Amino acid sequence: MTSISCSDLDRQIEQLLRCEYIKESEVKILCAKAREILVEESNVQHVDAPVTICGDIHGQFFDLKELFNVGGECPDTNYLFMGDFVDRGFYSVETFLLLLALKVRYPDRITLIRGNHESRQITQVYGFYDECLRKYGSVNVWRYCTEVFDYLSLSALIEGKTFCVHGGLSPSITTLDQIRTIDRKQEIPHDGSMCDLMWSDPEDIDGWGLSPRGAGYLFGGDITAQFNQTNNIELIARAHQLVMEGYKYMFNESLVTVWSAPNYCYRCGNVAAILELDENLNRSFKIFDAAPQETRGVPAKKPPPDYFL
Amino acid sequence: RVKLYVLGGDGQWDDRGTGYVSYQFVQGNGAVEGLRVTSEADDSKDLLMTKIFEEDVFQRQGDTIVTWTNPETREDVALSFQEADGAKEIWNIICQVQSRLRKNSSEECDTENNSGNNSSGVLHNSDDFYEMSLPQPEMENLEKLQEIVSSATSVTRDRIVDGVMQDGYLAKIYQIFRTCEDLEMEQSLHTLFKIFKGLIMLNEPSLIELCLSDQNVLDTMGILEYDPEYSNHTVKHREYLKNPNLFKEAVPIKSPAILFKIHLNFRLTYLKDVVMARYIDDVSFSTIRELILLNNVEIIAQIQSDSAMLEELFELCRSPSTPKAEAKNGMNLSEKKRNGFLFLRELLEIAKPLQLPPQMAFFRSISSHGLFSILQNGVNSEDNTIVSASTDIMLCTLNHDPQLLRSYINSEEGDNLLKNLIQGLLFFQDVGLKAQITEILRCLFDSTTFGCPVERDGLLETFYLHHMDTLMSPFTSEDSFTEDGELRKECWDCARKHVVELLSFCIEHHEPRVMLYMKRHDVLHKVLKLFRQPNKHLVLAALKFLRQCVGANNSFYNRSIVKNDLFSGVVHLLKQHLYRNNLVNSAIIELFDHIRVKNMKILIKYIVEKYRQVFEHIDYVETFKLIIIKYDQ
Repeated sequence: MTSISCSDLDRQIEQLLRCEYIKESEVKILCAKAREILVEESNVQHVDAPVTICGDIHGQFFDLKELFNVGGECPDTNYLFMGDFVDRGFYSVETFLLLLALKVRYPDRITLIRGNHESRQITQVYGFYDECLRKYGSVNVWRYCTEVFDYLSLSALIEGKTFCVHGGLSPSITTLDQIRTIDRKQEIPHDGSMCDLMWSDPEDIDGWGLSPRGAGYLFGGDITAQFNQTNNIELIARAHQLVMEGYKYMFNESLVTVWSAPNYCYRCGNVAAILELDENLNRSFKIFDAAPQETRGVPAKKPPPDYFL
Repeated sequence: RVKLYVLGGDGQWDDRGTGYVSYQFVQGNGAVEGLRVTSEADDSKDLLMTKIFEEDVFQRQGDTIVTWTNPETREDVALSFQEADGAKEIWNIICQVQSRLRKNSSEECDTENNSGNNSSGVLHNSDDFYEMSLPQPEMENLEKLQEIVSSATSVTRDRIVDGVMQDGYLAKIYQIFRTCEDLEMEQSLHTLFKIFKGLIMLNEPSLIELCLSDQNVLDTMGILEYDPEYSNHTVKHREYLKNPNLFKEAVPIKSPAILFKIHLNFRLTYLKDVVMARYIDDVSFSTIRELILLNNVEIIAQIQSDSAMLEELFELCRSPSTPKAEAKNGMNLSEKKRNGFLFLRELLEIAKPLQLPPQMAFFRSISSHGLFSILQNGVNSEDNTIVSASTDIMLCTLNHDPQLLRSYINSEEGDNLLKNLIQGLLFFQDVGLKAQITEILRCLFDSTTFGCPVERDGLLETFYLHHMDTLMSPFTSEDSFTEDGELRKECWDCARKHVVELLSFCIEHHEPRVMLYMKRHDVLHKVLKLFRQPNKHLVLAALKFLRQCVGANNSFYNRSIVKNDLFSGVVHLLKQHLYRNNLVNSAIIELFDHIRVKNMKILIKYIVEKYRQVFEHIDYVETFKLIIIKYDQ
């Protein structure tokens, strides 16, 4: 089927690393190739340690580059990104395509799982759709990318011990096997287990609670303990919530939130973190700040090249 | 050392001179604590004597400004300090005195009447005042102006706006800017940047418009190029905005006011998304967006009422274009025509966020001018851009009100539109366009948005009677791509995938019509052949289709499945993907899990009796064991 050479890919990666977007025809091939790889991945994708776990990026391209500076370049470092690559920041297109190109180039070195923003509905509200339209003049690139979203895995399991998911747990899921029975190739539904995995948040409560987000649930320490015991897991790593310190443990270190978008939305003033697991699953966090101003160039949503109205 | 300002009746800040401020303790009918400002020029003259009021009227703005409204005379007074330390000292005194006063007054409420008799208030010497609002727009006042603008509060905001919008004020600032730029006075340029950043963030629509007027926009953008955080002056807003090709006029827009609004909106967008992107806060963001929306309302209203212009535009879109079209004004006809479509697309795009009544009026107006007949031809165009724009526009109208396009299709004139769309879905090379057309068909035939039953029946009748066979053609004709190569195969596969997706959609929306069609044409069997395809996307689409049939839980589908052993392909796939844990595997498990949970007896009986042996060996998920248990019960 579609073929794409390593040298083509390397050139595209280089181009994307300079924050230049690639041609629409190249995006089409890249996305097709990515789908071929992702279709073979499990809903609970097995990942080997050592690996570096990252949280939300949200189109903050220069901060993603800073992340690679701090954590090491791909493929020298193995990465696991827990979703929310797009929306809000100014460079969702470059960010997502760079991660996708790395995925296609080094499929075993980088794992991408789905976040609640990897959705047609959400991206039409929070910026990715507009950005694609502005940068490419048609919605094609958005269509290619959102199709890839449907193929992204829902969660990952590192050495059988660390469970990674974008949001959190679901009342309809007690075992990891139940996640395997989800037909994930669809737009994120408004309720049900797949939705909960993308949307839920941990909270200092007992049992389950209603989520103020209107999707997913709040889950307490008892739920987390039960889930970890049932599935023989030591740690749940998730993203989805801004934490000013970059990461935050909860429930006796049985769950951690990792957030990788420094100075979120270019104004929240937070630091970002990545979680490094070595081959024995020892944890260490690396904290980083927003990339210095001078390295970014002028951050901007580029205007359309011409206008009629 | 302070400068004293008092707000005049005309809303301007009057400069009352410069002097020294000191704390005063006045003996009188009850002791009063106050502030005195002694004139710098003549130290025997007091510019101000004021009581420190108990009421909470004092405000601190930034580091160097203290303002208050005299609660007795309603006069607004401001002290602008030379030193931040001085301002802090006086501020502390005010706070101390106030807290003392408040303590006293709560202890002896009845003495309250006596306070205020004193001859405090604002004392001024009228011959000493000269007229001035903000500091004069002079080079040496830039710092001061920047201070005032940057430390604006809700109290001072309106006065700053009024001051800046006075005749000639901005013009002088722009003059200073040009001088600074000529002389490369970096420091001053940075100060100017801060002033304008501050002015825009005052969120005053009329001021923002003024800064972006034809006359001022380049100077404003020029100033905003000197962001102190980019010391080497790397941004080139003016160069960008000066590009004459930026604005494309598909058909002449005659009203200068509307033309200005169009330019203004582009500048506003540029300001919001590029120039101020890093600084803009939620309030400024929505101010600018609001401004754009309001302008759009006017633009739409104007264009909509301009029949002549719409006629010209639609005439352009209708014009036959051949590659050899004659050159006209240096631009050939096909390019003009393309611009016509793109203009139309933008027009619909900006109509989207309008309120419902004007939006409806607009859509009705352009439909009555013959929008859909243009689109019908647009979909057939040889120019991909026109095809793409046409589908975008169609989706726009569908999202607004699907009835518009539906009644066109039901009319005699619109007979070809469906045919054109389906041809496009099958034969276009561009997979993005195929997806777009699939989306159009979905919106068109969405049963949840159908209006009157007559229209629905008419539309579905046409679709199932005249178009379904064409849509199904990828499954009825044999593949013959050996000589055509990869590309066509890929294109065909993509079409098949979309067709299967549409069929799944139909099962959800058009029972029993779609069932009757499938019965007559053996569709289930034909589609499920896809299980043998190497292309996983097709396999997944077919699985989803089968899942939709099972989900419908109707006896025709169930009987067909059992009778034709339609799960044989699924079980074969299952064996192939058994421990692969991939998407195909998940989709299959989900399908079986659904049958188990819904306790679909006919299917359970069929699959267990036929495939028990296979299931018994699958232990990595519970699903298959549980199905067998269910059967045994």
